[in-house]
This record gives sequence, C-alpha cells and structure tokens, in this order.
Amino acid sequence: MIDGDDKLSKRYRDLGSEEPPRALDEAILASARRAVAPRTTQRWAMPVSIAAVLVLAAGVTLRMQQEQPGIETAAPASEYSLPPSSPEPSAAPEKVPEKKLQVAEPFAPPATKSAEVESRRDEQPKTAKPAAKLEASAPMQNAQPLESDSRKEKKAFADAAAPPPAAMPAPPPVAADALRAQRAATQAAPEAAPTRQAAPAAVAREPFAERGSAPNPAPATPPATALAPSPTAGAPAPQLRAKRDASGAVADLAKERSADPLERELERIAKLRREGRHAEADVAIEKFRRENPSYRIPETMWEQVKPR
Amino acid sequence: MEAPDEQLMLAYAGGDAGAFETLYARHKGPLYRFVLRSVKARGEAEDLFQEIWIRAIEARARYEPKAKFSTWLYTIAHNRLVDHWRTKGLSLVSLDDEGGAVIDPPAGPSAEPDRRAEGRQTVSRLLEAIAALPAAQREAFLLHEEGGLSVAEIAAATATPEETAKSRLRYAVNKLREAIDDD
Repeated sequence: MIDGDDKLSKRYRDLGSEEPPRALDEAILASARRAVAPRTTQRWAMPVSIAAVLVLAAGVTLRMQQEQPGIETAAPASEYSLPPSSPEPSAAPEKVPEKKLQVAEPFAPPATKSAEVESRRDEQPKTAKPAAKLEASAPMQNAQPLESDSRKEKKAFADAAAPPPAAMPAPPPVAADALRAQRAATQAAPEAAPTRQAAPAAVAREPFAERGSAPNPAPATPPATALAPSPTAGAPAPQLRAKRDASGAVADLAKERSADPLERELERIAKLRREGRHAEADVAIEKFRRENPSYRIPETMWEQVKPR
Repeated sequence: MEAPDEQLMLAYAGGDAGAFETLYARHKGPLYRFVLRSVKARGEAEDLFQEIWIRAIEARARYEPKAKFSTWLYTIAHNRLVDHWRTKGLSLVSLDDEGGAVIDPPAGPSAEPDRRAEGRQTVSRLLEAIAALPAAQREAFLLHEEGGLSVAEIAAATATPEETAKSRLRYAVNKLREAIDDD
C-alpha cells in the first residue's frame, strides 16, 4: 500500500495500546442497551392516550353544554327529520314560537345562579324538541323549503334553464318573511329603545320562522311582535342568556343555509314571477336592488326577476 | 467463526444488545487511540469517543452494510472531529494546510507521569512527529494505522477523492519515516 511503512507501523505499535477507561465502557454499553431495550412505557401509552382523549372529549362536551345549551342538540334536529308518522303534524309550528318566546323573553324574576343553570337545562329539550317536531311535521308538499341548499341551487338552475312549468304548488312565502323579519330586525335594532330585548327576540324567532315553512301565508310570528319593546327591561340577565342561547341556535342554522342569501332571495323572486305574482315580485326586486346596490345580478337571473 | 462486524451491527439494530458488546470490544481500542492522538487532551478525547459511539447507536436504524462497518464507524468519527475542529476555529481547508492545523502534542503514554521517563526516548519523537502533522494527514495516517482502512476507505470515510486521501497518507508516512530514521 504505502512503501516502506512496515517499520513505521511497527514503531507506531510500540507507542502503546491505550484503552478507554472502564467507566466510559460501561456508560457506552449502558446507552447501547437502553437504546434497544423495550420501553415499558410503550405498553401503557395506548390505553393512557385513549383515556386522555375520552376525558378531554367529555370535558369539552360538558363545557359546551354549560356555555351554550342547545347547541349540540339544535343542529342535529335541523339536520335530520323524523318519520312523517310523528304526532301533531300541524300543531307543532304554532307551538314552536310560543316555546321560543318563553326562552327568549322570560318574565320570571332573576333566580339564583344554580336555579338558572337548572332552568337552562330544562329549557334545552323544550327548544330542541319543537325543532325536531317542526321538521317532522312538515308535510310532503311543504318539503321544498327543507331541501338541502345544494338541491335548492340545482333546482334553481334547472328552473332557470327550463321554461316555467304550467302549474306549480304554491311556494311557502315564509322564507321571504323570515328574511324580511331579519332585515327589519337589523334595521330597527338601533332604533328600538331597549335593543337588548328586541334583538334576541327577533333572532330567536327567525330560524323557526324560516324552518317552519308553514303553508299559511300569514306569518305566525310577525316581525312586529319581535320588535316590540319588551316590558321586562329590568331583567337583563335572563335576556342576555336567552340571547346567547338563541344566537347559538341561529349560528348553527345559519351555517346550514347557503353561503349567499342574496342568490336565494333572487330565486324566490324568480319563483314569484313564474307563479304570476308579479306585484310581489316587483316590490321584492325593487327592495332587493335598493338594499344591495353593489350586487351584480347575473344576466340569466335578471331576465327572470326584472320588473315588468 | 466470528460473526462479521456488519452482521453484528444489523443484529444490534434488530435489538440484540449483545451484538453491540462484541462490536464495541473489537473497535473500542483502535477508535479510542484514533481520537486520543487526534486531539490534545485526554478529557476531550474521552468525550469525543463517547459521542462517536452514541452517534453510532442512534444511527443504528439507518445502517446499511454497503461498506465495511469500520469505514462507517470512522466516517462518524471523522465528522465528529471536523465539528470539533470547527469549534476550535480550524476550517476544513486548514485541516489540509501544512502550517495551519498543527496542534499541541496529543495526550499519550508520555503524558502519564509514571510512564513519562520510560518512554521519552523512544516514543516522544514519533508522537511529536504525529502531532506536528497537518490534521488531514494525521487523520489519514491514524485511519490507516488504527482503523485499518485502505486508501479507498479513507477516501470514503473522509469524503475526499481517493487521490487526495492517497497523497495525504503518503505525505504523512514520509514525514514520520524521516522522524524515526533520525533516531
């Protein structure tokens, strides 16, 4: 390999053969053994992690129930509808606002904290149940407003492409009423004297008014009642709690609705046109353009909704 | 018949701690002396020696017997020493520089008081000559003598071209030979 390095190698060997200290040997060998030793903690890792996740989930659920009662039950109630054989198919929509009113406008004087918590827990099934009944009670001819938004949109596109059918079932005007109620509430909120009471009441009714889909043209929950100043101005705590409850439910329901309520409003106006209700449609499109001056109505939609 | 190093390392990677003990027993002396004669202080050498083995232990899962185990082990040692030189302010260029990487005489038998008088005449001259080598040449010589690496393996362990490794080793041998021929 290297010429003449045999002698050098021999001399180098004469330098001595030092070895590492014994303590160093033991430390390195111990590290090597530790590295490949089966860890006893791994045996417990899985059960412990599962238990931790379960405890965490239970804690979060409990917290949610305390913070916003009804939020975990209201959303599923709106998602799933009960079988049509559910009892009281027609009475439910009328009952709903009443119960909601109880929640939104409690006339009882402020109770102690524990009593409040209990009452809130009691209220929870009251508010959630009517929602479920509401869904179940909607007869088949009124099932249209309960369709999912995607189906609605598809249908709207189909309607836009195809000529209007000769006869269509009377559409429920409730959604528009609810929308108007919502807008009226937002507009009138700053004007109403005790705004704290007016706003929650309006918000509390809105989802049920929208979802109620009652075929009755006269809205069961007129916005005027929602906007009326409540005489319970001296009880702000229950009002605030009711507002929080209602806004939680509204937030869930609002998520279910499509992201663009303007498009839905236009679809509604187009439907009014197809049904020959031009006067209502004229008023609605005028109002729409006044409230949304920057919104550019698509050409195909404009053909359907423009004033005549 | 003894199991080859590569097989032992694979066995250790598979969880056989006994295989590592055999490997360690085979290589601890040469590696220790390689490190000891590359740095100037015994304490530093022991720390580096331990860190090299710890790195080898941690890298066991990535070990592939593409080359000799000793080449792999001394590659780890080389990299650790390069880090060591960097912390001392020596660049990789200066490792090859004739005048830039001369270090103090490394700790050896002559550093121990009880053996100092005995080995002074015969040993100190070679030790001083080794210490006077540029770091890259010293490393090539020690890899050859202690690790038993060939020129090609030295090139692989130090990530240098084979010609460079060969010339480093040749320079080192010539200088050391001159030093011992003067005796």
